[in-house]
Amino acid sequence: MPSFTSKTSVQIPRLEGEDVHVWKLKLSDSLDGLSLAVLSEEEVEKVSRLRSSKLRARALSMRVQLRQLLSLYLDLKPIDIHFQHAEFGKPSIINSALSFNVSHSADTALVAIGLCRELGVDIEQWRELDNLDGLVQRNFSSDEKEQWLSINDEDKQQTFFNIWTCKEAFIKATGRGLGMGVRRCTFNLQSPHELRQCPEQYGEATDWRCVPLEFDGPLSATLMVGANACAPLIFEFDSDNFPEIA
Amino acid sequence: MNEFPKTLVDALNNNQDANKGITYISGQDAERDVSYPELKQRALGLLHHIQKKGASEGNELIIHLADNEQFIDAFWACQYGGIVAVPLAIGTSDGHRQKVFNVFEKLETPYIATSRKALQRLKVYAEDQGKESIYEQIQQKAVMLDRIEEFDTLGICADIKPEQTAFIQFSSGSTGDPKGVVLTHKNLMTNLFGIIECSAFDGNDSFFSWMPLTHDLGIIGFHLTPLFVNINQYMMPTELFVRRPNLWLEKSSEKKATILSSPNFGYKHVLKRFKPENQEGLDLSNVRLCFNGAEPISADLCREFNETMKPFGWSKTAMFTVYGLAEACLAVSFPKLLQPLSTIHVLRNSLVAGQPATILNAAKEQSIELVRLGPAITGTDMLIVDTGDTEVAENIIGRVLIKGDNVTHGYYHEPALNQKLISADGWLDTGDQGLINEGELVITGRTKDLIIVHGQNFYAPDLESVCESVDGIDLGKVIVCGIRNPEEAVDELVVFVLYRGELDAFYQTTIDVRRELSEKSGLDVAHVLPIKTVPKTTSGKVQRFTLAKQFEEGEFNEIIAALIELSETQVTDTGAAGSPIERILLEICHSVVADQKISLSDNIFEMGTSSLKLAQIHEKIDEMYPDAVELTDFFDYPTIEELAGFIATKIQE
Repeated sequence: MPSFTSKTSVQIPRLEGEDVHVWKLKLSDSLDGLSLAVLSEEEVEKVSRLRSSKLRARALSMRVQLRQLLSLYLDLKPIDIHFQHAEFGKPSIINSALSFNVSHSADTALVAIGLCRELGVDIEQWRELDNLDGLVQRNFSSDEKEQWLSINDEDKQQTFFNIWTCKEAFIKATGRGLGMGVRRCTFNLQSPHELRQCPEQYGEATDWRCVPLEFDGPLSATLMVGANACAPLIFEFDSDNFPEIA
Repeated sequence: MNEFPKTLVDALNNNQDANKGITYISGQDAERDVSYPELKQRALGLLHHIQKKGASEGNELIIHLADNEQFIDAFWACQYGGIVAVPLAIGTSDGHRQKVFNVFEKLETPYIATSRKALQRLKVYAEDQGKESIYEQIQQKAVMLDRIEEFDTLGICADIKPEQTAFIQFSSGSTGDPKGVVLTHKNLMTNLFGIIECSAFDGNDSFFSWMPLTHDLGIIGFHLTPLFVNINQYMMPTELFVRRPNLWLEKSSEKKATILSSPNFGYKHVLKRFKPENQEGLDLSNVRLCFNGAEPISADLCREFNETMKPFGWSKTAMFTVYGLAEACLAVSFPKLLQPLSTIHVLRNSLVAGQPATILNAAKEQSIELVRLGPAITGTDMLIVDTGDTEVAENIIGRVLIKGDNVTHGYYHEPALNQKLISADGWLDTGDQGLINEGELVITGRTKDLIIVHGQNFYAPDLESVCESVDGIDLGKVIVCGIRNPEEAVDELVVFVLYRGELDAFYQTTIDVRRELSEKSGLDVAHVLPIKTVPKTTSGKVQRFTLAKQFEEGEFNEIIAALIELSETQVTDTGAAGSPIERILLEICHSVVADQKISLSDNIFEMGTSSLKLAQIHEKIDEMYPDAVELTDFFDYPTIEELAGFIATKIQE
């Protein structure tokens, strides 16, 4: 008998303990087929401030997909998910132990999902920055600046974006955000980019796992988790072919 | 002087002294020397790579490089290979990248010398603008200078003739059709000879410049000239001067340079940051000449600069007020050497074409002070003519025409325009208006639609077409003028929009126009004003001059006041730029976060701006106001308004 050609849904294992899932989302440049009705008024209003239609579409596409994705884990309708923001702005889901963190750059977004609160992710497409050395001077710790001197010119861009995503993922994981001062944490500039030092209130540097996320293309992405071990599973989200949780 | 070279390559071939050359300065303690013989070797080595890419004699090479040394290497590789050099600025705005695409399409057989960084920027721009296919071609024709380390295999030299094109200088058009001034070796030889003779350069001189090499004053005035005299030259990146203007004078002092240059705005930029009490060791007594050209010159500013620098040995005869334009290669007229600043006072309302200017003995309320720019230099003829192309008498205002072997034969592939601007007997219309007073040129204004801001040329119609993309502005309903602000001693951009409604509703247009011009052309707009009719000549040509005059006479003062009042009341919801610091911050934010509307009262964090973007904003703020702000201060002062207030108090400390 001929089999149906329809795609079978991706089966996702249930989250347990220190598991982390990282989803890669493709952001659409147009609003075609987007279920905008699942968004809150506040979300739509915020997006409307973006100037180009392409960027508005991407931002809306990200929010819609985020809700669709979380709805799988929460067993709720996308529209019924309610977010709250902690003191320094880190978003979380009201009445849920599920933790998530989102980052986007150009047409790609990452969503990290886990059960541990201290979860942060960051993605940056490599692009030319006006004054790389100036940014390093002002945003790297003195230890990192010292390490920077031994980085070859041709590796500077990549190293900068790698370390920046580490720092960003870290300040997002702590929930403190940029107010912490990115200079107050130190990473290994050479791979593996482990956390060497962090401000006291976030524990010992060894309490943190820094996981580089490998994707094709000129980009850096990092996941930071306050956990003993972390081996995230990476999936691609396809809103036309919803995954299922096993 | 020995026999003067016939081509650029003759000149560099002549320079065999390994103790003479270029010092590239990249910071307080960073510099690199390249002697003229070394430069030749590097150029020939680079030529090999360019030829390997496929370029041959008569092809064009766009030079799109931020690094001065790479730029110079590429320029000379072109000269030895008979390849036409086409310098295009890197810049920061989309307009600069658009120009690369427009010029690339316009040239016959273009190649491009660039860097990975710059190419990446072009790629991003191409993806944004749907120009991927042109980008593909550019990429295929790109020679990446930052990838080349081997200079040992030499390229094949062409036999260069004086009539051959050496390079093309493109105007700073932001949109549409860029105009390229074609310059032959003979043009350049003629002008360089005149420049050197009339400034009496010799072996005792050395040059120091921060001018961009994409500008004629940079490449011809401060690179080719000293090379022809076979003396040392020092150059620092323009960006470094903008960030640290004092370094220009400090380094000139350290190097005992005798020849400097800056357009008008540069002196102002220096004076803003200059603190005499911090400049104990500064010695400017070696400076013999400081070329002041490329944009209208303010006599007050010259005097202020002279006065401030006097304690440091600055000579009052150093300020050298000159006139020139790309079409003449560089220079048209120089004053006599060793004379102090020389000016005339003219009644403002007598500045009418075809009429004698009323010249006063002293300044009056109704007069303006204009700087004398000297007689034409060797090799160039200059004429002031009336509308019938007849030469006029002294002190009568007319169009400035030039002729000579230094003057371009025309713009690249623009036969119609060339016919309009160059007469059958070889006189080129400079587009400037002026008079001759006691044998010296005085420029009184501009006739062509050229606007000069910060020494860069913009064509008004280009800027107007940028404005036309703003909602509510129709084709032909907007006029852009460059108008002198006498207090600030700079030309400012004023945009007039045909609008007959209530002023309240016009307010949003003013914001949109500012943003559009800032994004597309990197230009800051002083005023956006409504007009009820567009003044036109009988032949339908827009009369920019009429509007500029009305503006200068104060006819728009009431509207300006009303708009400022509106901006103060509406600032909370629409966010027009207020204080100068606020405007700068807003501009910085827009340059980094180009995709969002930002107003003065927006919380920077609530805009969803990424940390990296905030760090970039911080970095740019730090360039403008060194050490005034920490990144974490953004949290205590999360809006532009608050941050501007904070910076203001920091600056006062």
